[in-house]
Amino acid sequence: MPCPHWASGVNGRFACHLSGPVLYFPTKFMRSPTSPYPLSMRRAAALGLALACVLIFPGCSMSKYIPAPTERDVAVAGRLGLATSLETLALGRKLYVRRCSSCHSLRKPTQLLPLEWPEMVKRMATNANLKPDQQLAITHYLVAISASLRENAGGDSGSDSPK
Amino acid sequence: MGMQNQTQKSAESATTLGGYGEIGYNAYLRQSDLNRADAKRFSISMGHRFNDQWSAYSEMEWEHAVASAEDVGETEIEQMYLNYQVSENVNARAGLILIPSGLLNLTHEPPLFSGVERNFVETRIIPTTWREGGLAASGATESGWAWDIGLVTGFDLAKLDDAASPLAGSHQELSLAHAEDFSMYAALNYRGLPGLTAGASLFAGKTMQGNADHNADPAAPDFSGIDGALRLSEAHACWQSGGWTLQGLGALGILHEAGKMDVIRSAATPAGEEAVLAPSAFYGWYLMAGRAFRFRANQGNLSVTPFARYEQFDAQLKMPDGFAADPALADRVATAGFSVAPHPQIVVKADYQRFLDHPHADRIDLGLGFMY
Repeated sequence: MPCPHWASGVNGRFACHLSGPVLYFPTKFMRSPTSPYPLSMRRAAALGLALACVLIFPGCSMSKYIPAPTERDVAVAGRLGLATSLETLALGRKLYVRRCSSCHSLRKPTQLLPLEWPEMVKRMATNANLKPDQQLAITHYLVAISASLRENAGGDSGSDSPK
Repeated sequence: MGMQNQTQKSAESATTLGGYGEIGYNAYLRQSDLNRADAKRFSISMGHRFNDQWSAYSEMEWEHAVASAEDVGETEIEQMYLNYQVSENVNARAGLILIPSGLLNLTHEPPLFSGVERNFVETRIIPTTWREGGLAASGATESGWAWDIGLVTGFDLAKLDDAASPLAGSHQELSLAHAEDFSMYAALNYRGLPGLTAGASLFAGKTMQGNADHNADPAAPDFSGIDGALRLSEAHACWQSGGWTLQGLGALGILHEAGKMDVIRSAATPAGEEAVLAPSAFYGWYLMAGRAFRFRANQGNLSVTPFARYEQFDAQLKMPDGFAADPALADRVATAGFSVAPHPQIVVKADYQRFLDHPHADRIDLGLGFMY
């Protein structure tokens, strides 16, 4: 059932005038045979959605890749010469998930070496309006978890920091 | 320096300095006279935290190495805003801010995207680096949803000077921007899984700015009575896992009253010259896949990332009745290449771009970039 307010838009078929403002309904476009989105674009979107369903959702979870810290992670950090606590690491994880994801997708801690995280966090700290203790907590969490997961995987902790 | 000192020191300073640089070389396979080497961009950013609530951020950029009356280079302020942290999850900003549209506009540093050149969809359709002046708010939930809203300055279609990029050709960049017509934007993204960003955004506003150009200079075309309402919508997704990156984006711009604008613009264009016409609709989309191979070398992660991208765009998808679209403004481009990153903040790139509808533009690109 077409919208009763359907009126001529840019090409006469995809604008809906309601009390003056022009409103658009992208989902309607995608279903409509008269959609302004070219067929190739709709096909690409459908392909992308299918890929997402197949590749993204099965077996994924935040806690798997951004794990909650444990006392073992505190010990691993200690072996790198980083004095921290379980509370700091837990705060760091919470802030990492909440604050960093407001601008970009979250990286797995193992995506960078432990030594590379302080510089990366520092780069974005002001843009994310992090207080010094918050920046420190996020850095401690990422350094500790990156090192800990690397150890779990059978490698060394990935740091050449003096012990 | 020990890890303790390194982490401590990085968090101590209230003022932070950053930046990025980008140099490229384009070798055209059928028109070697077009070959160019260019220091494309050098940017310096500065942030300062005044206290727990207030901070400021700014970014200055130089394009094409030399900016003078005789050169095409530009010196510009890309960002300059005050940030107030309303609560743990909500920030408010005022000033010159980047518009959260697409995947590239907020994160355009060279080590963060594939390809020597930025993709065509996010330059010709979404005018990266796109910034406006105004008020904005953003926030994120613990479940991974991030939202952005803003009330900002908009485009001035009376100034349109590039039909190949309808928005980049009429942006104001907060440089004595006409501000009778404000625009609004909203963006919603889901980042609840590591490596995933999926979202959409909408930017809407009028674009004739109360016919300000004509009012200031009666010799300029008279667009009185035209609002030129613009809607730019886009949706995107990026998934990075196990070394793989899969990315896609589609954008559609719709401009109302483009026919009225084009009639006036055509009449005002001197005989023998070609009028720069505004489209009723313009669009683009791309899909990209890449795979990073990481090696332990050089005291860090050396990564090599081959990638392939296919994109399609048309800056004049739909023209007003009586005006014909220029086929030179649409293309399908296939790009294949690789990035080598000896450090997460350094990249060397190479790619081959095949322009399926304009083969004379086929080229090989080389580039290097860094950010800090």
